[in-house]
Amino acid sequence: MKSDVGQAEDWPTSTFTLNDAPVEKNLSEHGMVIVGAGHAGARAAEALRKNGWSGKLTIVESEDAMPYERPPLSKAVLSGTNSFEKYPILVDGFFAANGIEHIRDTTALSIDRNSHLIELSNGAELPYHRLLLAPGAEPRRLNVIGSDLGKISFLRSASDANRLASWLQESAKVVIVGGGLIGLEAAASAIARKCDVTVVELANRLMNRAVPEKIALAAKLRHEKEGVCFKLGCAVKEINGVNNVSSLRLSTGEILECDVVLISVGVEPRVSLAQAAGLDIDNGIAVDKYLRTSDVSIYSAGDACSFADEASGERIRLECWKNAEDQAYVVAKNMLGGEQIYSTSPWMWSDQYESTIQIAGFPARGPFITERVCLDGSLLLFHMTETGHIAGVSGFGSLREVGRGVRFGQLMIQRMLTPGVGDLCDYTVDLRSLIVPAVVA
Amino acid sequence: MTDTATWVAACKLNELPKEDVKRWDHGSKSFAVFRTADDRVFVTDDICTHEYAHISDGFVMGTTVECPRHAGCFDFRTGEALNPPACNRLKTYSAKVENGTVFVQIG
Ligand SMILES: Cc1cc2nc3c(=O)[nH]c(=O)nc-3n(C[C@H](O)[C@H](O)[C@H](O)COP(=O)(O)OP(=O)(O)OC[C@H]3O[C@@H](n4cnc5c(N)ncnc54)[C@H](O)[C@@H]3O)c2cc1C
Ligand code: FES
Repeated sequence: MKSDVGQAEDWPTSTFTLNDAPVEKNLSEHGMVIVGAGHAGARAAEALRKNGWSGKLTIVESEDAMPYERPPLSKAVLSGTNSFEKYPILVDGFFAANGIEHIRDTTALSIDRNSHLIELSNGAELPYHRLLLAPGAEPRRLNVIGSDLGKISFLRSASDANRLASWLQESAKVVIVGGGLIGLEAAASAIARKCDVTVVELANRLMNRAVPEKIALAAKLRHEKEGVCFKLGCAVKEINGVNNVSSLRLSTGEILECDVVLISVGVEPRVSLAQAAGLDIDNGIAVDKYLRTSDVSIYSAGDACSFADEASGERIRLECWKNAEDQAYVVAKNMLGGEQIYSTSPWMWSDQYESTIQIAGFPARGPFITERVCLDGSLLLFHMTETGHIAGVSGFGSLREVGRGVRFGQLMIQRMLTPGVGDLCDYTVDLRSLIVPAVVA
Repeated sequence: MTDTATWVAACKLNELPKEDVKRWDHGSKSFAVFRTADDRVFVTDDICTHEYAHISDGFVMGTTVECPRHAGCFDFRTGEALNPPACNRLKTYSAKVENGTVFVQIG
């Protein structure tokens, strides 16, 4: 362990309130326990050590793997460019080098909040002083006949991605149910493997929940150029096959023949552990601005938790890398007695073919859209409010134009600038010039 | 090889906006050439150490560059990776300006 790590007794216990329960022994000896070694959990473990926690630290994970990044699963891993091991979240040997006990292939089954104990699937009981629930989200099921046939998969874990990748043989007929971000990334990967790809989507447009309509349309055209076939406004009514899937029946009556099906119809936060322990649940594990659940000894972060957005007061849940990453740092500070408020500045990306989609802020809160078509055809949308402020920015196209454009848009949001519409839509106006006075200051 | 033999002209300083970056291809490699607001120049490898992206397509602020793909940041003076998902250093090269031309020391 690093020598600059403080001792357990340095830990500011006086700032904690322990749920009003009589404290019979020094609970801090129980240490910190994290459920879920996904993005939020792994990063929070790292942040606890970096913030000086030198006491016991245990992380429990259902999967039998070291923490890995999930975004490459639908991209490099599915298209066969790289294996998931190439995308670790922590540097090799981090847990061992930092005295963190990583209990893998083991699930946390229940929480006894009175005794500060969690029950594990290996029969052990693990005491905790502070507990972080970072269980992520679970792919939503499709409740139709035949959805348990072979060669049908979800895509959440490395083993899902490896299994699916092994089925994506050249010319395989692949049906992707759900035209969301992950479904479309998988479509691009299946095209890279020369599969025949059809996407079935219930809504009349793609990426309905997360992506502005114009961006979704631009992405659809790109996919169609690559040969992806879309069935929009269609539900899957039945899946047929003997052992493996062989066809799907759609609500239009159409029968789609297929060899492989990916079900990608969104995710649900994994709340069962928290719910059974009596914690408040509201569109996820409900946390306050410090990412604390309704039990002051238990925190939550990542895809599983819902929090009140500062601006709107709405309780929201974000299912993206940046949210898990940022919340992990905040929650670690607060588990150690800090009072850092989590304030979100959403940003997410999706890579499809050589194009990128990036979205920052809250596009839905900016009804007035200013469009910039860049010289290389990339599309940037500035979602503006009535007062001319930018609520969100989104883009589809080249990394250069979209990456830079969205970044400038983020600065405009942060600095509450009101750039002129004429300048925003004119590609000859350098976006930097619209924020320059603030940059220099 | 003598020291001077390894300095290669990359671009004119005035082709490079202040607080920005430009791609320079040499042989089979791409380099990212940076100019700070106070006219210092720095050079790094152009391909991000995380996944694949040209750092020269990124966003420069002060002495950091943000990768356009996943916003991993690097200090382009030292190549140090500053935030996830970038965690490995970018290789840096010595650079100098002579008579308005940026030279890079490679090899
Ligand atoms: C295929 C795919 C592609 C993605 N692409 C992008 C992208 O391009 N851009 C982007 O911004 N985001 C993307 N995301 C989203 C991003 O990966 C998630 O937001 C992030 O992983 C959330 O982190 P988390 O820690 O909350 O959940 P997870 O990373 O899912 O980790 C939760 C972990 O908890 C474990 N667990 C659950 N319950 C228990 C239990 N009871 N006991 C023990 N362990 C348990 C699970 O096994 C899991 O490993 C993608 C996600 C997927 C699946
Ligand atoms: S490719 Fe540069 S941060 Fe991911």
